[in-house]
Amino acid sequence: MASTFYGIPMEVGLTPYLIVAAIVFMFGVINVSTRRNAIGILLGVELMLNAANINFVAFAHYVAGGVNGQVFAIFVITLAAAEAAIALAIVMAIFNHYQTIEVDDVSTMKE
Amino acid sequence: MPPDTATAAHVAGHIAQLPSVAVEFGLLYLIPLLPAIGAVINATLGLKIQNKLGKNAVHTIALAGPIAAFVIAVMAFLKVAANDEIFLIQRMWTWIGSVPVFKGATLTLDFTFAIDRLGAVMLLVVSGVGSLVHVFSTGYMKDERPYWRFFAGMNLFMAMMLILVMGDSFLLMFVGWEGVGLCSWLLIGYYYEDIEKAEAAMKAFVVNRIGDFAFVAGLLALFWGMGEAYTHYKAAGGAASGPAHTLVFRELAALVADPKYTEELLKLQLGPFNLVTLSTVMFFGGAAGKSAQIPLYVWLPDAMAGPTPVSALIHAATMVTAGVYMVARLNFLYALSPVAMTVVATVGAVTALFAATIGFFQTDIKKVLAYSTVSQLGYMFIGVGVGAYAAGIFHLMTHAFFKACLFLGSGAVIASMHHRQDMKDMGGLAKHIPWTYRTFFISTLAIAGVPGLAGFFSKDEILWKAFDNGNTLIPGWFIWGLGAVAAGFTAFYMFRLTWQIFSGEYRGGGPEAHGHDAHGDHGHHGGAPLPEDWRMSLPLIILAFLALAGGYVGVPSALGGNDGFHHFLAPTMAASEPHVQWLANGNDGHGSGLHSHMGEYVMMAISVLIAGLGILLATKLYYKRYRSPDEEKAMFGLKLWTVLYNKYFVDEGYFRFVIHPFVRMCRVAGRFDNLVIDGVVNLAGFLMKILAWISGAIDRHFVDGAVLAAGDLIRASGSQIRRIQTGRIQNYVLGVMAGSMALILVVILMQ
Repeated sequence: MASTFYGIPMEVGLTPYLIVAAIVFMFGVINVSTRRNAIGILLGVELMLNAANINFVAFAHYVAGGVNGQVFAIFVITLAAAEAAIALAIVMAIFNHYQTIEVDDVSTMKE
Repeated sequence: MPPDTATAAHVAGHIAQLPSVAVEFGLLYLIPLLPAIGAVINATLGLKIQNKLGKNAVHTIALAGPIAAFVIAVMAFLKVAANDEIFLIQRMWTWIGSVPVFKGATLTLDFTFAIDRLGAVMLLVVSGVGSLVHVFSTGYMKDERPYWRFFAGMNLFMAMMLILVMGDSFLLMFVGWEGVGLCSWLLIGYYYEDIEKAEAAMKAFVVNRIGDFAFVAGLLALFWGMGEAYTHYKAAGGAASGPAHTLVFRELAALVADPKYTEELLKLQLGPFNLVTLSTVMFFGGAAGKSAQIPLYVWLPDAMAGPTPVSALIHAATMVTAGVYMVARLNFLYALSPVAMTVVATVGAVTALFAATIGFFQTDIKKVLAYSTVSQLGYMFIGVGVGAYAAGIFHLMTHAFFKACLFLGSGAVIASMHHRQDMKDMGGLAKHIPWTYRTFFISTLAIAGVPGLAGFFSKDEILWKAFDNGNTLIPGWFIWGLGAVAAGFTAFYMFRLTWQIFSGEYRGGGPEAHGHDAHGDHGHHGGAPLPEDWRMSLPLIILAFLALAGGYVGVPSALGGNDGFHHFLAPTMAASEPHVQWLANGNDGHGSGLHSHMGEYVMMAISVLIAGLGILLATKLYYKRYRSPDEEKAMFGLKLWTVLYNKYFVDEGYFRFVIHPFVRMCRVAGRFDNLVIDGVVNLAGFLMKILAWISGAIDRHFVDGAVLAAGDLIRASGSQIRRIQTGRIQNYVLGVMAGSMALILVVILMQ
């Protein structure tokens, strides 16, 4: 089980994966909550989705077994692609309408 | 009368039985339907037909129905005349299906037409005289604008009268009974622009309603009694099956024919009265309204406001005889109650005399005939009252002939006189309208009871039976006396009328005479009499022939005849026969040999003598000699003249003692209504108003206040809360983050 590669253990265990995922997720959150650019926000959302993917795969491998986690990860990637397509279309529409994609300037629903 | 003697008294040795064999006759429904179709066509399309196709088209439609009905009636008549055991029947549909009545019993009634011999005679009279009157009307009414309306009414009348005759139950007869009342109203009020004539129509209708109320009340009483009697009858071991409650005449007749049932029926009391007596007297109340007997006769003279053919058909020949027909139809009930028989016969006799006297000094020729009709109807009620039902119907038939002839004759006179009706304008018309004169004279002889004519046979039959009867509580000779005196009076006023119209010189004046025209806007003002119109003469001649010859169907055995009419109707009167008593000649008035007829000859001679005196007196006073009302006042005494001319002030009396008190009562009730009832209602309204104001105030201040406060609160809080909605996506993301952090914190702290 504990195979090494040039003395470096190949099996790092669950925790490093979770740490990486948490870091990526935090990047995503910070990105979403600080960026004013719509495309930047979308990038942040993609980061958060992929952080979740890492978690899925890691938990599937170390805890649950089977391939459910991997299948979910593929679903999420597909979903993210669809979401990106729709969101970019909306961004295009907003841009056509307001000549900007700064979300602060697109706030006509308020009042 | 012991039963063996009664049986022996039958000359023919044949005891009448109720007709028991029902024969389906599929054309019966056409008899009322055909005139009804004519009525519907003329009532709905008549004006258009008259304008586009002319009056000929209107009366062609109107004549077709009654004449076709007459043809079918003849067929029906021949069928029942051929066999005395059958009656014709046609069941149309179930009219009332198993309706629960008293004590769990049910009533089922079919809409059925039935014709026995009594109905067949009535059918022939109604459709025959009706058709002749229709023909006459095509001449008499030719200048009327609403020609179609007249014929629509006449046809509807024919339909209703035929339903009345053919209906086999109380209910169906009542449909016809009310229908003819409606048509009477329509046709008396034909000239409805004239308020007096419209009022005459109302009077006829209202007076008839009083009678009809009695009729319906009597029927309810009888209906109740049927159930009671049937229960007791069954308890006593009665054999008859079938429903307890029946409205069908022949079923009731069959029940009453069972002595056990009759016994139970006669035991019933309703309050202090015997049920049979009470209900038959109530029925007679209806008959008195329809057939113009005391005290409800007052509408008939006023009904002369209608066109003359209407008077002839409805108010002389047919509708007013419906009461007589009804009593004859219910002979099996009347024969059970001596009190009811006495009431019917006495009212008839008194009416006959009373109305005859009013006829003395009337100057309007139609009024004379109207009182004559009331008087003759009185004779018919004597007949059916004393138990001589066939004699009553016989007089009904002959009266229909000669009185229709007289009325149509008076119509021809009126038409010839440019619609004037007062005899002061007439005189000498025999030269101008000879056929009218001849027919009128024949009919006058008939009604006066001159031997050999129709009226003689029927009237003397009635008078003899009245004398001979052992049923009424007052002696027969008293009723006979009233009738015989009335016969003399009849002869007197009828000959007065005839001579005043036809003899002497014409008094109507030339074209310059003006102003006495009943129809001021009619275009005619006096002038020479107009010649006759064959359309009017033809029916007169036919009716005069019937008045001449119609009596020979019922020549009494005392005069060598065979009492044909009596025997013809005997089966329909079979149920009453055991209860009717005759004094002299056995149970149905037939003896043999001269001896048993002596009384009859004497009575006949006396009544002919009295009638002859009346004729002689009238001829002496009035032949070729006009006597104005002033002259008559001097001759007969002012008091007598005034009382008779004003009809004993009965109308005035009714106004004073019935109508005015009633109107006053209405006014008092009205004031009571205004002051007390309305006061209470207004007070209640006022209280409600106050209550409503209080309730409104509560609503405005408390309920509305609460609702508004809730609204205000929500709006105020909303304006605060909506500040959270910044529209900045980063704020929301921060919120999401903060929320999830808090949740995680909670989860961790909870462990």
